[in-house]
Amino acid sequence: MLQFMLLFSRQGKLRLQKWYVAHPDKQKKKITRELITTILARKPKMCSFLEWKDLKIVYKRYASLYFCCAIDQDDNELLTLEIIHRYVELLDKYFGSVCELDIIFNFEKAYFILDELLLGGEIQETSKKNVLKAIAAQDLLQEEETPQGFFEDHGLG
Amino acid sequence: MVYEMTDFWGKSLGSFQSFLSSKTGLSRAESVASTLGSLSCQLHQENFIKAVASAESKQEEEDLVKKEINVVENILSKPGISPKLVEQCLIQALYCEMLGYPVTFAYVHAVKLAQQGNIQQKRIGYLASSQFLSMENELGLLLINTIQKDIRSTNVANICMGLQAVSYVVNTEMVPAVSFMVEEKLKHAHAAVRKYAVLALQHCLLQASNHHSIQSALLRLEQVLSDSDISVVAAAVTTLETVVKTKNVTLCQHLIPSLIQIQQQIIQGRLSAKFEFHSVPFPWLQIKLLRLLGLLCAGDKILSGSVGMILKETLQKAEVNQPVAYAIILECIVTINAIEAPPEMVELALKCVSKFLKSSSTDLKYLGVKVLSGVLNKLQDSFSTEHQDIVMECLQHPDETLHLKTLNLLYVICNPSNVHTVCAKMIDFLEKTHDTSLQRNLVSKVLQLAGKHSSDHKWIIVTLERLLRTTDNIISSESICEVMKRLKGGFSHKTEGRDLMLFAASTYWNLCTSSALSDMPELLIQLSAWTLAECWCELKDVTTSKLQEKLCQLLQLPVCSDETKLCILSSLTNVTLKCSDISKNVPSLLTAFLEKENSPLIKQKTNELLRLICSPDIKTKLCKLPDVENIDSTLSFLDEYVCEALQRNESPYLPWRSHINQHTNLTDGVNRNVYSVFKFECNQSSSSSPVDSYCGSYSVQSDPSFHSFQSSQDSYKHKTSTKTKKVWTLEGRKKENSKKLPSSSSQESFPVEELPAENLHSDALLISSSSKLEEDLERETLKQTLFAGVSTAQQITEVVDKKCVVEECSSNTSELTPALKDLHKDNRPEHLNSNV
Repeated sequence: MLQFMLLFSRQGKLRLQKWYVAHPDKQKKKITRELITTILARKPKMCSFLEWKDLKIVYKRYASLYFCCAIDQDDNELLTLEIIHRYVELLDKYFGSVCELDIIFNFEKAYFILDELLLGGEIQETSKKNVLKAIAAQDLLQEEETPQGFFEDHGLG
Repeated sequence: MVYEMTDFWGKSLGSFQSFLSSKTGLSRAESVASTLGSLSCQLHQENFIKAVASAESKQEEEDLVKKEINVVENILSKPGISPKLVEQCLIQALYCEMLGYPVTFAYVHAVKLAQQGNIQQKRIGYLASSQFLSMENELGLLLINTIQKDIRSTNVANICMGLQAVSYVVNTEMVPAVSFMVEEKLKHAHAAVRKYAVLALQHCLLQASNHHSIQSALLRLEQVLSDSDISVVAAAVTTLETVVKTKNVTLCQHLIPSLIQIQQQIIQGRLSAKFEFHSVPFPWLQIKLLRLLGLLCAGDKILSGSVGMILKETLQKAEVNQPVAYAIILECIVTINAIEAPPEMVELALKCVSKFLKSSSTDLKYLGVKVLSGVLNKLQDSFSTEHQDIVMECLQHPDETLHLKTLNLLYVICNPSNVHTVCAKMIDFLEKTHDTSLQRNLVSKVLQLAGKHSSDHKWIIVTLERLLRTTDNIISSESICEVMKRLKGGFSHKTEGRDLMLFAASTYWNLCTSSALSDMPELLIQLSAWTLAECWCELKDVTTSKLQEKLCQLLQLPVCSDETKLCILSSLTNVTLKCSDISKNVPSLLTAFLEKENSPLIKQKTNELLRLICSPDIKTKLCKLPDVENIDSTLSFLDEYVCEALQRNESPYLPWRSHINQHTNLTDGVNRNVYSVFKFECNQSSSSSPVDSYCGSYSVQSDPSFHSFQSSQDSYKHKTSTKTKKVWTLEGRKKENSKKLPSSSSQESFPVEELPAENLHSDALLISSSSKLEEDLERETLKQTLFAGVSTAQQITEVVDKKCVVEECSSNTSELTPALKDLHKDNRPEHLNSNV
């Protein structure tokens, strides 16, 4: 089971965080801060897995973003790398050649896609098609609430 | 930023609302009305969410939410409200409960809505119920009826909702009510229903306590494994994994053939193309199956043999050059490690591991090293030079993680010939790292290895010094005690003992006379003090007076804690007892030290030492006491005396607690007249008898767990002592107290109690640890017989079975080799005889 997933830039700015276990806010901040410094200190040739406190951390760098997950002791690390890769593929397909700016400006979409992929720390949908179909349906609903339609609904024409 | 966030939330929630409220079957008027109704509510909800999110303080947020809750409560309490309105209120209530403000009044409405509303409202009702009601809540009982009805309905959506609700609400008592229906749904036509039914069944299985119901449920599950839809099969496999982990493994072992068959079908590509993940068919299910097979076959040779075939096939099919294929290979290797695989399987695993190790990817190298230790456990042959080269390379690798994993591997294959190098490497790593948990782990490993494999005491002394300098605050005093025991054993060795004593003494003397005295870690001071007291006589140029002055100097060091001071004091006492000449400066130094000290125990001990120094006749008396082989701690030989005394109407023993009011001040209890009369005054509740102090001095080095001691015995309060106390005290002292007699009687018992500290120490430690030694001995002999045939050729040599080593990783006790144990056992009479 994934305990949390973090996305952060090369400068250490956090772009996305999703927690699957409950921690008080302060502890979350502390963990995030420490983990970011640890991972940023690693050189390119180093292993993608590390043991940090009592967690196994799996991370991978895609362009300027680091995708970092914490997993349980008995989970398969290579499989977690695959989950991260799957997430990146989904973002790529959805945004079309995704870059960090896409995630910064459309972070809520990134969260929606992540929620379609992972549930409770486990992968729930491996099919790219199904996830993107669900997101498209979601988008359609949101489109119905266009600003024009919004005003009309309120009787403001 | 916050505002934008709430914008999005508002938008999303708004869409959700409109989705719920859009009904195709309603008339136009109604639809307009409902839209309006939802609109105002939607606006209201949006505003509420925005307001809460932009609240300046917690108080403001609380006020807002409480106001909203009141509004909702008012609406809900009105009779005859439409389900539509209930729906809106429930959504608000859900949001408030999520923020942390309980809305218990809404629970009933949630249950009612799930029962009465149309499909959208039913959905909201179920959602709210699943969030509000935990399994202990009695309102769940009200929901059961609804759930039952829904599961039996013909509408697929209803069935699914009902089945989902089962996981949230059903507890152990309710299981029989629903389990039958759930099992029926396992054969439903629709795949989604079957999947939900399997998951509901999982919940029932976990809750069920009745063995019979578990059996019948498992039977049904077996049938599901041969379902036509793979997603249902996947759900069944997950259920099995949960059942195996939480309940008995043997329940599911008969399912192994069907699991093997599923795996075969997957790897042979019988699944449709949509399940391919980068040209590997359904890797998640494959990995789950492998893990489940590992769990089921662990420890059983026959079962392990049956899965050998499928593992081989999986490995072959996973030869694709895709990262996910490596994940499958990794899982296969992990499974092979977990089960009792036949040798050719282990060979195959080893081949795969070699490929991992040779790859250029650091990830694969890391994983290779990680599973290598597991594979080597199984192999009896030597670990080839090729592997050794790779492992050496990993050790030099700049990546710290890889380095650490290699150290783990070395720990597993450690044996007496390579223990020095392995420990040296570990300490190198320790000196570089700053992570305390890592340090603790490594330190315990080093101590374990040193204790287990090395019989070279000189090396232990050197390594320990190095270790203490880097990680003083991590090593516990218990480990130091263990080391002292080992060294003591070494000292009494017939041929090498004197040599070792000389080495130890010179090392520690050099340490103590070095200029960097203030940098010395505390435990090192303790160790030096003890060792010097034991073997200073070997050093030709160090006279007793020099040593005593040095020890006094150590006492003055600011870094010393109470424990260390007591240790040094006991070493001083030891030295004083052993020899006759005493330096002139010592009493003055001690008196100066006494003035500054606050702790009564230390003051007491210093006083005793001073008395001992000043009156040599006491010393001679102590030295002349006879040895006692068997110590009768109940002092039964005095029973007659006690009875006679009681018959003479002497007052019986009063427990210490009745005296407690008289002695509230700790320092009052310091007895400055210890040696004046050999009279035992039982009213001196807080006095430390001479025995006690000697006991106390040595046992202080062990874990001061006197709290537990106090609770179990009616003892004196502030003394810190454990092992020795248990052997000696209360029985003896109680009896003593009960007599309250003149000196003659106490004098009889004194010989028993007042043995020189040294003997007591060894005695007590040996008595308390004899049982432990016995089981250690058994374990050691088993180990020896297991590895009788293993030859030790080179540095990193053959594998020995280190399974128990790996499990004991966290324990701090070091196992003594049989040689040392014998030494200990033989030493007992020797110690008693070798009087001071």
